[in-house]
Amino acid sequence: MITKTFKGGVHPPENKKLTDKKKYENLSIPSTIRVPLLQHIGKPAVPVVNIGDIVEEGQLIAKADGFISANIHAPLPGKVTDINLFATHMGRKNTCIVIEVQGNFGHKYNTFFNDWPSLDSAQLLEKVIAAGIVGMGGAAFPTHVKLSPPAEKPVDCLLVNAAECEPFLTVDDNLVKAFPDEIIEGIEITLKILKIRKAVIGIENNKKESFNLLKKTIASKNLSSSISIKMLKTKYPQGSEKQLIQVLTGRVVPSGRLPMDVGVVVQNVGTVFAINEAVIKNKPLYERYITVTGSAVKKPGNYKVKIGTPVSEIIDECGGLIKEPGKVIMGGPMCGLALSSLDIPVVKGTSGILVLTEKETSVGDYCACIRCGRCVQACPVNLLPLEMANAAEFTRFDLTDEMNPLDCIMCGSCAYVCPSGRPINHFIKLAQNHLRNKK
Amino acid sequence: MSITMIQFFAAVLSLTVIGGLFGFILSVAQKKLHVEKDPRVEEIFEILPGANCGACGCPGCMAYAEKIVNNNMDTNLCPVGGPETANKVADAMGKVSGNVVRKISRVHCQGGKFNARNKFKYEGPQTCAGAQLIDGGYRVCSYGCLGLGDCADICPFGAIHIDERKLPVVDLDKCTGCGKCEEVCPRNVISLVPRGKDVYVMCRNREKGPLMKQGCSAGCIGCKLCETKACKIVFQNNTDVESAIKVDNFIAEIDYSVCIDCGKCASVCPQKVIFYPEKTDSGILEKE
Repeated sequence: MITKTFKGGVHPPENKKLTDKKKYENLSIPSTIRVPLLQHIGKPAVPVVNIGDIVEEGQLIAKADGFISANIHAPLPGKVTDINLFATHMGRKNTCIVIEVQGNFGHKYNTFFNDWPSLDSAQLLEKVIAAGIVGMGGAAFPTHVKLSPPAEKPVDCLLVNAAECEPFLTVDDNLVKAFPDEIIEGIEITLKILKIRKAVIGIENNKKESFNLLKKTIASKNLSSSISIKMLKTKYPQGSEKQLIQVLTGRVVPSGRLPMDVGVVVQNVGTVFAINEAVIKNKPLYERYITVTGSAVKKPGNYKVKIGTPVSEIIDECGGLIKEPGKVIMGGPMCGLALSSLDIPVVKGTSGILVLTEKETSVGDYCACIRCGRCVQACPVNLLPLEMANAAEFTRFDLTDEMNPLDCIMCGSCAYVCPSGRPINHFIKLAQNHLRNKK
Repeated sequence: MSITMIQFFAAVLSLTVIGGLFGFILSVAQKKLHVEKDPRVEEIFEILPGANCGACGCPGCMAYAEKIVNNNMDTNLCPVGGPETANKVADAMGKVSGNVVRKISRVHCQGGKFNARNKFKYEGPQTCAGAQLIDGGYRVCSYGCLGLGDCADICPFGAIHIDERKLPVVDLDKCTGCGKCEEVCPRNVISLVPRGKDVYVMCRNREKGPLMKQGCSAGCIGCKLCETKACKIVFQNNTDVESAIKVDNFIAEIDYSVCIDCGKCASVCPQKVIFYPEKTDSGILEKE
């Protein structure tokens, strides 16, 4: 089998063995949930409920504010007890709707609507907007924005990202194993919304089982002419949007442009699955699958959780902690965000919760750059991370401004390989902020 | 290899001729390509302090001097030189200088190592701007000083140092009020206050008292005692001004355009969050 890949990247230990054979389990219902109004990139949603209101499962509780924003729905039935500022994964305090769970669970979303081919593209897109779907890979960019490319930028190819290059995470892999039919159907729906006929699924070669399963499903549905699947080399950051486009289509997204500019739309498998549920079951996005893993947690596995569940409850459900944790990370170990409090709720973009011991996380001071150039080799976007970090360390932003810091995808490969343990991408982030503020 | 006498004199002679020729060309060029320059630019540049701090809004003193002469810029924009410089520059330009309000940097936080609590251990780049990127800073309070010294690093006059409390301390003799520290602080903890007003609030936290107390033991709780029990009484016979200190969003703020620097607000503050030095006849006694 020929595997494809890109220049640069790193090979961190996979650590997927902890959870890759674990089937999805439901977690028990939390007593209170806290739903942040800003879970996506763009403007925060505007609440449409008041304190004291009784909400149903799946009811709209906050409406998208503008085009680049997303609707938010009640994950559980209950009473709205507070709308206030709370700590969220974004760091800064954000407005959250607090729901105290009570009342009946209507099994509303068990009816199936299989007649979607009768709807036209605009009606399908309307369902995606109503369901409040955002990118489930982690960045949480509102999906309907990607699915409505402007007329001057024609799109001819949909890429479905099942690479899952982050170590530890197995959520996409298990999603494919559990719902191959739904995912393929979701791709068909997405193709119809985009009015195109070509989709390519990219998957890393450490997930052979999922690869074969998808291949079989495509063949059984007679879709081989429109949907193809390609195996990629296991390497980080293989699942990064621009790297995936380059590998699967041979097109290079120019500096400062979007995938749309080269005629491509990339969607995560989780997003495709959510599109399927939104259209077939009319179900809004209020729950998601996550991986809870790491050596400090007792029962690592893959779980289905409601948006807004605090991380502390999820860890308790997974048997609690067996070792003193050094870091709790939301997302993968390379791109995820370390949490400062366990009260922070799960959001639409959370792909995993990683509990690492202090030994596993790098702790300690960094040293001076020895100019070994390993970061230049590892950089998938051909930047000079060492030069940028060294200039930013001494606030020489006049130099960094000319080194294209905004092309950095923040994959962290440079910091991973650095023998001096320098927080290179942190320095680059400073350079990025300086340039953004200047513009 | 030996050099003959003739070779030696030939070398001396040819170099002399070449030197003379170039000298002649240069002297002709100076006359022919002469650029008329306003002598006032040089004069004003001499008057300016030469700190090149950029507080006037121009990149350096020479640029400011050129803009005063060519673009008719105001002469009172240099906070480093103060009124004397402004007057001298105005004299040189044959104008009357506007008013110069000399300012000073004040640190609106007294949290630091002993009063403010941390959310987590921060290990990234040891700058405030870097720390601010991770979860909005490592302190529980999201308004207070991070204490990593971006202000001390940028100060062109060496007027700020970070003390053992991990808080910046401004040297009042060295501070010129250029405002570089105010600009660089990611949390707006530092602001410029008119010189001569010794009272200022040492907190920027806009949260309710109990919420603020989760992060810091020394912040403003927004009790309004400074407003009701001190300032309003001082201004009770004044019909124009109700109070110079106002509590909005659970934080006291002083309006320096009306403040008379009496220090009554500092004496009633239960949190000791308003700074006012003990004044004696011989001068000001700084107190912590």
